[in-house]
Amino acid sequence: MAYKESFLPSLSKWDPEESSEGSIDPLGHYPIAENLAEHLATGIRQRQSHPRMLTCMAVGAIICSDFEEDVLTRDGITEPWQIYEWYVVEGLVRSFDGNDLSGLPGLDKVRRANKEKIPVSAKTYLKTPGTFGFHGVYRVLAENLGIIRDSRISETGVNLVIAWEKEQHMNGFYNGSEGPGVEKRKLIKKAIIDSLQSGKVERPAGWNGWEFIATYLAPYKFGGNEAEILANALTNRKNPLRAEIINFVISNRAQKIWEKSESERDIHSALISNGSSPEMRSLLAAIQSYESFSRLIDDAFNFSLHIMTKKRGKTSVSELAKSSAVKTAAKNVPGIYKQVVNSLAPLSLATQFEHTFGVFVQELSPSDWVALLIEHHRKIQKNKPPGGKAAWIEQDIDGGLVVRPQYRIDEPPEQSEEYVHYYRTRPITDFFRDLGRIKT
Amino acid sequence: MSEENRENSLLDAWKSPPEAGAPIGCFATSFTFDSVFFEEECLGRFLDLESDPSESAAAYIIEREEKLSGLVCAVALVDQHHCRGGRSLRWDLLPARLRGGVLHAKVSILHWAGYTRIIIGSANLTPSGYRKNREVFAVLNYYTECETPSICLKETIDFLRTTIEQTCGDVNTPSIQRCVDFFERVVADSRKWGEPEQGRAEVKAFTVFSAPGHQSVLNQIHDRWPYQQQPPCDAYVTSPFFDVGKENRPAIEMWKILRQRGNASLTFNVCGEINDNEVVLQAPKSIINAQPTGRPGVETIIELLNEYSGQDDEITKAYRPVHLKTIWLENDYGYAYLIGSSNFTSKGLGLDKQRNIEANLLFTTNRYNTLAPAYLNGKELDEKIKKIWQETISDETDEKLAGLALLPDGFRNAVYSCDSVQGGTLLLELGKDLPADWQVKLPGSHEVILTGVSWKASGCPTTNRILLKESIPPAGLEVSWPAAGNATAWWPVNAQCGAVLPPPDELKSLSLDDLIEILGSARPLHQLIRRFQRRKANDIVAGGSAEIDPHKRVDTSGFIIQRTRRISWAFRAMREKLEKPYATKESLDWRLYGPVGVQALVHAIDREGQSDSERAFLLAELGLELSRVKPGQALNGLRPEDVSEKLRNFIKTLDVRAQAIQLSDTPDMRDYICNVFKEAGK
Repeated sequence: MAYKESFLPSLSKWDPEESSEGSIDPLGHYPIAENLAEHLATGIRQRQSHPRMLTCMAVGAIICSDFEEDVLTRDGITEPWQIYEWYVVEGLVRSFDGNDLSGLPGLDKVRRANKEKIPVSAKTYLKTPGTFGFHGVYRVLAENLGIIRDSRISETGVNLVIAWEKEQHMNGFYNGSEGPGVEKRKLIKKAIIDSLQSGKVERPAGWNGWEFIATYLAPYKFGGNEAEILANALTNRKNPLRAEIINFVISNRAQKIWEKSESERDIHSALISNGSSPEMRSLLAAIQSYESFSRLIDDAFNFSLHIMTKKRGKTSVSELAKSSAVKTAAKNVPGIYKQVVNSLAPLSLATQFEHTFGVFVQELSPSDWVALLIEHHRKIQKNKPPGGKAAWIEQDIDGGLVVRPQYRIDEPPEQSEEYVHYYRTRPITDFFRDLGRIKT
Repeated sequence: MSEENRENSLLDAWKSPPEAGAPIGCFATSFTFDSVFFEEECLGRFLDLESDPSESAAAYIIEREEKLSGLVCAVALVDQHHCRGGRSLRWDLLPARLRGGVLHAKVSILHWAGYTRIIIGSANLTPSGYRKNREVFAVLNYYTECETPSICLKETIDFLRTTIEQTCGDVNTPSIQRCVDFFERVVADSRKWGEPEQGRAEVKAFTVFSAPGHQSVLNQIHDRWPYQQQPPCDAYVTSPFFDVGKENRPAIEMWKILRQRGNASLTFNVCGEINDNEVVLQAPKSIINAQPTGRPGVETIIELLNEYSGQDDEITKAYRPVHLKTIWLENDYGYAYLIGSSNFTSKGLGLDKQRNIEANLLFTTNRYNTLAPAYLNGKELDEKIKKIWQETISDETDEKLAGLALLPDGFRNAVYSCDSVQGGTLLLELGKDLPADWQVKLPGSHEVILTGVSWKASGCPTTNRILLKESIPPAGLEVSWPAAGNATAWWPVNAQCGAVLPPPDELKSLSLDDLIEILGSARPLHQLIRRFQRRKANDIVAGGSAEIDPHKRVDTSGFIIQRTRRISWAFRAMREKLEKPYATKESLDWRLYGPVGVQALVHAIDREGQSDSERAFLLAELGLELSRVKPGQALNGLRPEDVSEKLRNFIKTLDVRAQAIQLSDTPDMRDYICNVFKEAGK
């Protein structure tokens, strides 16, 4: 509903947080896990799923190279690349249904704007588009692969656009000389110019630019050379660990494991036993020990939230200490702590780990340990940017603990040996499925 | 009732509508409260912030501070039990202190230059209220030629003014004065917005407020029922909380509103859980017992609400606690629907002497389909199923509130101020009702800044001035006393005014070059600062910014020309920016006196000018450029002549500054400066 339309009452919609990866991290695990994942698969992010967005960015960088650096919409908010993104997402939304576009950033916002017949604009699109739009989500990878640099086209990007141009019969698109590509480039550029004036998408349903986007920039419609360039860039020797993990994940053996269990721990164990490089073995050992540590304290925290939820009132530390998850963590964490420090040292992450989790080296009773865990959580929340966040657990005047309503856990958490964090197996699988290197 | 519900995002209601104009200010009330959520999610949308705090804290802070500084005010008035949390001091957090009840109303007024919006509903300003729970709300929009009833806006502002008077104590504090200015501004801007008469409207809307001195909510509903000769025959109540105890006064009073002869029914939609052949209901049995006895044709029905939304599979199923509060009335002629903050309790409906402050909206119509989609249907229970009544105590009851450390009334106002002589100062106002052995600490530190003992030793002054060592003003103070046990109460600090607040670190002492780039660029400030930071990081990676091209080192003449050209260009660009309309006097102050304003440029010229002549010359050029500014007119904004007056005064200060520079060695330059300021002063 456009709120301008009426003053009729409404029920509230379930509106889960649209947060950047790791912003909800009550125990401060995420930065080290992210660092490990970055070592393993540089540039790849968990929320990425369609490598064609890299081609879209390269094509957009060519179109936007016609604009001066400081050009913005009249309201001073939006840059040309952002407007290009609105058009791409709207073009895809107009032509494909949700399943074809799953994982496309901005999908819901654009679909909603279309449904309400409101043009896509900074107000109707994502709240922080530079982070949550597809340029934001894929920017680090695009820069790492040499597709763009500071929003301008870079070497791999040029090769990508030339291959795309040839395979899509868009001659003239890149150098603007002559051919059907020249017209298409002008078509999109003109739309961006008009949107710079008004700050919103300025094309009706019948515009033939929509068809261009759907036909030539859709997620699955790779040409052979275009796919080859991206696959090579992702697996080239400049980044041997990324190449090694990708080559293994897309192998038949790994895919069978993935289809069966979707367990990254199993995938990594199989890679170690497969005769991986010494660097990879060392990295995977660090990941496995860090995840064992994370699992223990994560389970203890979640069970504590569940106990507080069930109690529906004040809970004491000694009540939390009775849970098996807390007892197991209190018993095992100090031992695993030392393993983690040793395994993170070669990656220069041991100091960061000790700085964040140093308190957990102590051997304590379950009651003292869970009190320490809650104090650790408070400290992590307090130090979150920009000015700290509230703790999930409040303490009453008599020391009783109460979970804040939005963090209640009604169902008992599932206990498993799985990793707490993600190490990119899913996006790698999605990428190479899109690129035709993994058969569905 | 309706098959398909109307559902909307509450947070979307905080986004500015197209063509709303510049944000002017906002005022919101809540019972429970999350300051970080309010700042990042609600204010972030209201101000159209585009940076994300977890991605780039520096860019976010700069954008937030810049946009907040242009507002008349941004205020959250929160019940004293939940009024706490870290925040930017550019918005005010006011504790509502009410004896015998709580501030339970959830009302927000958002005002842009061409648009006013009121949000009234059941959701507190917390992530669970806005994102997770099942809540109900309505959004009233006011703008030129809108059809929204204007009386609702007037009554809401009157209600909020009264609430401040009833709950905030001293109304002469700077933060309260900002609220007063804001309400005046809303009234002035919206004078011609809205429909004064609702006579022919398909759906009519009325405010139903409850507070000490008001009629009860049920009486107000009764008075607004459009068919006074034909009372409603059926009522449907949805509430997560009810009175506990043997007698249920709200239910008894509800029956009095329904028709007194013939068939009538009262349905309660309640939460609960079915286990085999029994259902545990989150409601007291007294709601059944309230049914009139000895009268045929009356019926009390219990329906069960589903607290899970989405499909019945694990992936899409979401647990959504029911927190909405509604009363639906109907007969053969029409319908009335109350939504808002009032639980079905005596305090919530204003039936007790001790009552809460509540805000609701009542809609009346004879078109069922206009209101029914906002009603949450329950499921009728099988008659054979065994009912187990479980009384759930509301969060606003004394029993629940007793666990929270409440700031004693004697701790009145805490105001942050700052001046160039003393630095940051806290003005702490203390009254009589203070506990024994209290102490006040800066948050998160062990630094005690005032104790009961030291206060008594200095003669119990009402106003206590505390000099702060740190340059960062605290968002609140931690107050403890032995009777509060482990807990500490939070004493919110508000700023004297925006000008006393320090700028973000990244904007402190920007170089002349940086300021010139900022003034000359069309990009938003936070984007430019991010660019500076990237550039500095690259310089560090590249081994410092030392020039390594030998040809560039000797090309000094080109450097001077380029510098002068760049400065002239920046002055022109600055003029263009100054010509943009001003929605508030605060936004003009920011452009003149803020950390990247004209005054900052003057300081940078003083600091970095390469000679006295250059300094005087640049000040004169700046004065000349300011004299050429032709201010634009914003809708409901500052008048161009007022802006020009302020600029003229600014030019005078430049003139004084330039005249003070020794130019005896360069008489031509001195004459030029004099002539320029004469020209600029015309």
